[in-house]
Amino acid sequence: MSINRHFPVLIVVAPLLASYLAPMLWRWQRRLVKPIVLSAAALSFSMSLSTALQVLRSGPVSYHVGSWEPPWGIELYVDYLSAYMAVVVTAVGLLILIYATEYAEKLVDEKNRGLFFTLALLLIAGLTGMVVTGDVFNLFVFLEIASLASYALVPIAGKKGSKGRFEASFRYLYMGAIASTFILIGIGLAYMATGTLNMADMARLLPEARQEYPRLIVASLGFFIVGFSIKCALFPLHLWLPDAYAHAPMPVNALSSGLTIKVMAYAMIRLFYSVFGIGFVSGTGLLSALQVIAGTAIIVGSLLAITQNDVIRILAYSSVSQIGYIILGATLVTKDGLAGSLLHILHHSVMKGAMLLAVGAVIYKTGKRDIRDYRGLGKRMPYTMGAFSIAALSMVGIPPLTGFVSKWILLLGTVEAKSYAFTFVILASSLLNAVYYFRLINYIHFKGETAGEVDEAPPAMLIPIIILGLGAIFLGVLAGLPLTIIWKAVASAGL
Amino acid sequence: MTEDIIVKTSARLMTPFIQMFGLYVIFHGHLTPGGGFQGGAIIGASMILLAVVYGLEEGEKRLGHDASTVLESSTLFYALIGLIGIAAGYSFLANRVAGIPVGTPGALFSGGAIFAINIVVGLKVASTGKTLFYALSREERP
Amino acid sequence: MIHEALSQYNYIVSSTLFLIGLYTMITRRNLLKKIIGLNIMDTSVFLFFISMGSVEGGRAPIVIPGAEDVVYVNPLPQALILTAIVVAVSVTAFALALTIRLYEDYGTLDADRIRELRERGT
Repeated sequence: MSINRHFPVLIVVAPLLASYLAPMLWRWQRRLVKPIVLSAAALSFSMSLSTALQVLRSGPVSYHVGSWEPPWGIELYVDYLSAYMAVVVTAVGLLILIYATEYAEKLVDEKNRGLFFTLALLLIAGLTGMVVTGDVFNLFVFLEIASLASYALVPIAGKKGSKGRFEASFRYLYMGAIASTFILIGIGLAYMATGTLNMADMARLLPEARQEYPRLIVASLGFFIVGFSIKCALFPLHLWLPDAYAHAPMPVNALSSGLTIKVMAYAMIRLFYSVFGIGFVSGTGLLSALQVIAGTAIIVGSLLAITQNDVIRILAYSSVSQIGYIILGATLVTKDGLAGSLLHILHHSVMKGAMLLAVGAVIYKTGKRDIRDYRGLGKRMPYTMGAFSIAALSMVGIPPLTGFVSKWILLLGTVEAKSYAFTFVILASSLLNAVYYFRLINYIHFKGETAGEVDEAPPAMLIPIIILGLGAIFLGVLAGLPLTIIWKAVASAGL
Repeated sequence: MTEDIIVKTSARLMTPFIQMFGLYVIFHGHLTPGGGFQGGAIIGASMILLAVVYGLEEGEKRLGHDASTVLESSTLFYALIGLIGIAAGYSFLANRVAGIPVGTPGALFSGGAIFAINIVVGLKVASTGKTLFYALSREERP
Repeated sequence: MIHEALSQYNYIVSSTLFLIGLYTMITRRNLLKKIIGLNIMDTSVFLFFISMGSVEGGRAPIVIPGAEDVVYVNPLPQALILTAIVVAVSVTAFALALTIRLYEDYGTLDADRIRELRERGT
């Protein structure tokens, strides 16, 4: 009996345990907090990597919490898709936490610093929980753990934060709470129709229940879609996101953009493909509506990003646009569409992570966030701004950088689905991306000097930025690596 | 704070009974409706009652900030109880199958891990309720 | 038709409550009223779940040794709702804490006024 068998649950328990320990240790043994936080995240990462390899080798893993057989007990079910997402979440989460240990030292009030690590770990625990669970209500519980942690992380900087931080957090909470209620009703309706909460069991019983309660199940699906659309900031329900970003500490933004909204999109994909069945979902017409919304999100997000001068808001609206790509790919119902969408989850986490952390390093050093103050930073902070520029180029989709690959596969997906309008949307959006990212790069490298005396960020911040920047270069060439598991996930989704 | 003898006396007399009832609800969580959360909420309410009647400082004397920080981390034991199942070679949170003695159904000391988890959750909820009240009522000017 | 609808009155009540809560959240400018709206909305969902699991004449789902033909209500929605209540309590507590801080910062609970003050400030 090896410990490997327990990895699905330990991936979640490790950060959870450390997050309980952190407030106590922060009070009495302060220097132990960071090692424990980082080792919990590293442990979680190595376990999810090992689980992913195991899943690739011998197929999906099912874990019965409390040794109760599903559908009675809670089942954790790690298939190709979950394993992939778990690795993305824990890997990017670990890098951001390493960065945050240094960032929080300066830009988070000392009183709140212990809490910051507790909440960040709770967020990661909640997200990994959402990813590995095979139970719809369990999904909701982990969703709420993650959401509450992210509401509270927005104003965490304390007096060192900006003035509007409580208002931004309140707006986030307000929209998030509505979304949670919608999701809960969706769960309730689905439970009413099937009498089960286990995803696999629900998927088995839904076709039969559809005969009896056709409208109930469509209503349930609608509630889920609205709820998760708010949670993943899909236009036009994205209003909480730019404000929350503008006031939260940068590692929190990286966690939110890199992980939270991605996992929310994952939850939507999971419900479409593994619970309701994509055939049924596309038959309701909700899917084509979602396609149009996602297409609009791609364009409008980019247009809004062009109008901004605040770097953080540019990146925030860019996230609104990128989540459109992910949802669009997932709703195209083609092999390439779904694969591109899943690959874009990883690629966007890496690219946006690199950019947000690089901007965080500038704020750490100078406190500036208007792009007009970024002139000449390319010379002062060569590594940070180099990673930023590569990630920006990659975001535009310059081959052979990372962003190009996922966008290309998405493009093939739209062609495969014969939705040429969306092919055009993706191409047009790349041009719009080019407008605002080239503007940023132009300011950083080619517009003279206004940045003043600044030097590189400390190593604990620089190393995650460089790793993510290298990811933005090499994950494109090495896209075959994640794609092996993604193609299997796509195949098991029934496409 | 005005001196109101009726409120103070009745609060003082009520508190032990409220807390006793809270403990009853926690300890019988596996036998009757109720459990850790409900009982913990009752105990937390009794502490809030004391703080409302006698003032925040007096309440702080009964259960200090350090103590409630420790109690709030008591959820740690929830996870540790869960790990017993793994140590025994079964699943996380495994109860009877992992060899935790469950006693006879209907007896007070039965239910195995559920009994222990109820106590842990009760502690957590009681201290959280108190902490929440203090966090919201303390005037802390920035 | 009407009879059928009325026999499902629990769903009518909970959806009415849900809409009242949502309406309050969206239209009221006072932050406290928004939070109260949120709570009404949450409560409607609790009511929906609990009434879904209830059985007429059912008992609390605790096995009575020896009793054979006892009807129990469905315990699962109750367990779910207990979790959802915990979540709602946490969200409410956090929202109230934020409201206190907003009031300290701006001296008002009006959401529009707060936005106005913030925009003028920066």
